[in-house]
Amino acid sequence: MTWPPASRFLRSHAARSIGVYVVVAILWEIVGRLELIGGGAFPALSDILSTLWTERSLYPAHTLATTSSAFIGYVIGNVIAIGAAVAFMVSPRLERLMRGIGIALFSVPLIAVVPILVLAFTGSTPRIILAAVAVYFTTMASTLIGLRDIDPRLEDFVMVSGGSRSDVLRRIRLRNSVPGIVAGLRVGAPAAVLGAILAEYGSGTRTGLGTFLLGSLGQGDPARLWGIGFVATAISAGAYVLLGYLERRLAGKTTSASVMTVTPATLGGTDNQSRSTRALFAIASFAATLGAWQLFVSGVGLSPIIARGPIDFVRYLVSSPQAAASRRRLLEALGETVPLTFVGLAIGLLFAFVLATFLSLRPLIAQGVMPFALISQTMPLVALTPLIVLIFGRGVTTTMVITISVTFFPAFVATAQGLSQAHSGTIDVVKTYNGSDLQVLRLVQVPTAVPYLISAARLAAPRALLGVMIAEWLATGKGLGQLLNESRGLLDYGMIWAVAAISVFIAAGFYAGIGLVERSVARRYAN
Amino acid sequence: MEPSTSEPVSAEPAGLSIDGISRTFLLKGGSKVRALEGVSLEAPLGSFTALIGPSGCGKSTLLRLIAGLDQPDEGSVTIAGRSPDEVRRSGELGVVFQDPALLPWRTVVTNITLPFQVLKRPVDDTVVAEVLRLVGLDGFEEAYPAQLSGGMRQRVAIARALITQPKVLLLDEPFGALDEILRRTMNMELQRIWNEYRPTTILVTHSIDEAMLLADRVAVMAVNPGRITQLVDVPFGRPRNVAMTKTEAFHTMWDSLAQSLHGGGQE
Ligand SMILES: Nc1ncnc2c1ncn2[C@@H]1O[C@H](COP(=O)(O)OP(=O)(O)O)[C@@H](O)[C@H]1O
Ligand SMILES: [Mg+2]
Repeated sequence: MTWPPASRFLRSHAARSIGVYVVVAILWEIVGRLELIGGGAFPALSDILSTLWTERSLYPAHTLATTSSAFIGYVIGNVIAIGAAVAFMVSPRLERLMRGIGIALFSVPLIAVVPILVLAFTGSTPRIILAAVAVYFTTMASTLIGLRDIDPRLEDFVMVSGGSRSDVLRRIRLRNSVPGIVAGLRVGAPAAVLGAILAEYGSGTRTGLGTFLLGSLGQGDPARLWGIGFVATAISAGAYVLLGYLERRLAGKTTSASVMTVTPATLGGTDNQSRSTRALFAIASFAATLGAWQLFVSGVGLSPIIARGPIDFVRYLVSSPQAAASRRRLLEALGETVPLTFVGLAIGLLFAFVLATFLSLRPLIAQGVMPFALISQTMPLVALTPLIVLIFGRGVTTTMVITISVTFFPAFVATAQGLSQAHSGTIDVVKTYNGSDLQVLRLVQVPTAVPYLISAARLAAPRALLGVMIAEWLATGKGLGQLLNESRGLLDYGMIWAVAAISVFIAAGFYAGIGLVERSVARRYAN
Repeated sequence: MEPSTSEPVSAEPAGLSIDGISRTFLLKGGSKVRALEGVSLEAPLGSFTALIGPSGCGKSTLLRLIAGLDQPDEGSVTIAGRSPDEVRRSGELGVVFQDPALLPWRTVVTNITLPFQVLKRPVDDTVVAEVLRLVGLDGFEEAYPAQLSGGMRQRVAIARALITQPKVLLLDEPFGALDEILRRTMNMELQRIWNEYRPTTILVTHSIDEAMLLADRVAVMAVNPGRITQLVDVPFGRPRNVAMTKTEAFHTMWDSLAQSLHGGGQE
């Protein structure tokens, strides 16, 4: 049992992960050299790196443009998020009122608002705003949970010692929210990069990694596209890993590099009001969201020709001369986009669940796959759509690949986590009757993992819609993404706003709908 | 190992026999924990043995070894002359842990019938009804664990352990999480249930009272390495009741058990 040190290292977990990376790098090289995928669209690793090196002078300007905007947006978004969380802590009613806005900001298919932001702002501002939007909700939610979720005895203790509520907030709650804040910061880093890059698609900025990527798409140089993808991934992965390290130092424990599982149920916190009160708050919160929309429109001072508030939106689709035609175009686009989103989401979830379940019976293979699932969490995946277009062409395959991959990875990580969270005592009970591994899996582990999968589905659904819309915009020329792109070219402002509003509505509907399922499942699973 | 009817004293082949088992765990840093060392114990068919000892003396480990959920480094466990694996396959084992370990997404009935499902046997509704009555849960068939109190959940766990009418019942601090009053009530119920089936029972407990109320014999364990230091017969007749705990004889024995517990290690 006492291995010599070298041999012990070879058997260690770290060595196996490194081994997996090396094997994959070699496979990549071979596949690229032999042009096995997409007729050269998938270049050898060495080609990508050497192109990256020879073209290194092209990168600094683009990288700086994207990164600086992403960083500014990231800081602004997080500061607002933390401030909002504290405000929501103090006033739960305010939180309930603003929840619709939070969900809208989380669900908004970022690309859908790019044309509006480009109309309203110039320069880097759209990029900054989108980066801020991309990070806001996750940080707000995880901070709020940290603020709320303190040991009630600590609060009693401070109060008994003559402290006030604000002492509790300052001395206990804020400290308790630090791990949540850092977790939000970690998850937010790739999101900010994603937001900044997406803002460049269709914004006409001259510099930025997104602009660079799109500009290079037509030049038939796959190695360069991949190099840009590498750089974008390296930036967000670097920030993610750095913050993950900070998080472990602060929290003193390893937090899983998983999706955030912030449920509406946990956000609901202590309020257990009646159904009618909840419905009232939901309506008020919806009204507040529309109010925020109107406020934005009047606030940014756009000309009335361009600016469209909620009322203009209704007028455009109901009473304007071209209302019927607009509705028809919208419905047609929705008929294309929504089913694809559903199918991609379903396949991604199913595939993730089946693979994670299967791999739990083969832990060695699972250990090999997990690093890639985790890397994918740090990638601005949808922003790298041009790479997928390069390999899979401009058809529906590309749409599916993007949608499935944005769903698959988080769902895979969540399911694997859920399977491993199964109660060990319950597993022992099954084994006491000589239950097989398969029976343990079926009777205990898989049901345990179901809520995790549902959480992942809720978080992935808006991303899936974003994936479909980007694929439509950049590649397939169909559906909502195309309608948006087209309207942008035709300066059809009514349609630009309509597509944005409806896509937010659909994505938020997915999110809230899955959240309801999650709530009822959580109630069943409560112990 | 010949079954012999001529020797009434040696009921062992039909009961539980633990023969010189040791179990050492290797920890991450490379250090070792001698959880059990050279532990032997004979429990005749239908007997009730209590294991008491300080935390970490290997009580749970011993129970897991008896159930075959873990393998000893040395020694062997036989139940009626068979290995734990064989006994598991036949469904003759029942376990209850401190944590009821119920499936929260299942009702009381479907939790209780889990063993049948694992053993791929048809569910016998009359047995289900009887076991539910025995643990006092009739009327709660369709309730979910979340709707039950802590004591009721533990009764569901006991019912689940009894559903296959096991020959061997292993209880690992089953009432450890309950308050004192509820615990006493559950003790009395367990005695009544045990009396109806008479499974060979091993009960792990922290409580000397509980051990003396329920067991025929008390095995006192010590830590570092985990071992049995003393095996004491409990002389009181059955059925036992709470009044018994107020007698002089009970107190004397309680004191002597407490003495040997603290002689063998710190509580
Ligand atoms: N799976 C395991 N791995 C490592 N150490 C273990 C394991 N199970 C038990 N131990 C160690 O063995 C000792 C006995 O544990 P246990 O049987 O749980 O004690 P008890 O139930 O008497 O409190 C403890 O020191 C415990 O830390
Ligand atoms: Mg124990």
